[in-house]
Amino acid sequence: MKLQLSKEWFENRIQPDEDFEVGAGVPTDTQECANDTSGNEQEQMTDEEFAETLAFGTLIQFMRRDRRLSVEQLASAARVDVAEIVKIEFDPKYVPHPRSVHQLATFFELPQRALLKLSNVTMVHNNQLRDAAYRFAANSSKIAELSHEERVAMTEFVEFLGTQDDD
Amino acid sequence: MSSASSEVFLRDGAGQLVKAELHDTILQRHLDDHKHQWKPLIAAQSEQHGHWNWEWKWSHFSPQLSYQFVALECNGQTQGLMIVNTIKRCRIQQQANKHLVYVEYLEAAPWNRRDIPNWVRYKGVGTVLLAAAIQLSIDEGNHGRIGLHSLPQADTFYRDKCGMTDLGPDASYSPKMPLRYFEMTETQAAAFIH
Repeated sequence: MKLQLSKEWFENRIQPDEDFEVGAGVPTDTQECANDTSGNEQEQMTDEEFAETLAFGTLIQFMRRDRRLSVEQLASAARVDVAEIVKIEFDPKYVPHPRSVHQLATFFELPQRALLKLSNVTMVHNNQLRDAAYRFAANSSKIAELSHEERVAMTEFVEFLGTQDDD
Repeated sequence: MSSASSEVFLRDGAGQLVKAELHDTILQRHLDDHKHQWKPLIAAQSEQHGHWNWEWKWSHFSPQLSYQFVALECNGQTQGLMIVNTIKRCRIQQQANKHLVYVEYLEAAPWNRRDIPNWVRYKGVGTVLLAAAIQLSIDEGNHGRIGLHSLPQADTFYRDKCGMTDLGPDASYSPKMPLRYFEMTETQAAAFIH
């Protein structure tokens, strides 16, 4: 979308003495407010939520290492703050910004809805995803090089996420 | 994700036109502005003026291809945000069932609101965002047709300033808050942007 209007258009259309309010759409509801935990550490986290965010952070780190990217390189390529990547990878109680999850999903070509659930940005969950997150987190360790087993675990987990990318 | 921006203008408190940037996406800095600058001001005022959780909306709508996002920046600050749906259909008889661009959510920064005395920094946020919605409609092949549900305090803007057709309160949209539905025809859109 490229808006190409002359300066004269704005001069005529926006009058100095105009006095209008704007706004469209029903204002936010309480559910949205309740879900607004992103960008913060969540102290009150269930074991299941902890396992999911741990699995999310581990998955992002594995994907990054598999592509031989530094945290800074990933942050630049995915257009996410370096500090956000560090928190995602190393703080399992950190609930990331939805946009960061979206950016990372796009960059790594991962299913977005499943990743939003896994990162606890959305409050919709299912037991299959939680079980898979448990298994993936339990069988992974964050070390320098991806072992063959870690790569297999990562590939299987990504394939599973692809089956969970629904509403 | 790449984004493009257009040079537009707003009118500042002294009545002068000032350059602004219209982005065809919502970036993290826009969401951060909302969270750290808009929300504290909104909370400090009252709940009377509706507000929206843009981060939640962005996460909810961004995976869906039918939604597009617009952010308006001026002087390094986010001045307005908008989400549109590109697959809705018209209700006005003369263009019934034709596709339009539907403005799901539109909000100006709290310091640009008229109901908060001495806060108005920029005028024209709604005008620019509506022009963007019309442009998106043209880009989609919908000839400028747009629709929206207006907040009560904004009815006069859409009806008198923008020349949209008022189809009255729409209880089917939100029974608890039956906002008025406004629609813009091709002719009205052409009159608005020319």
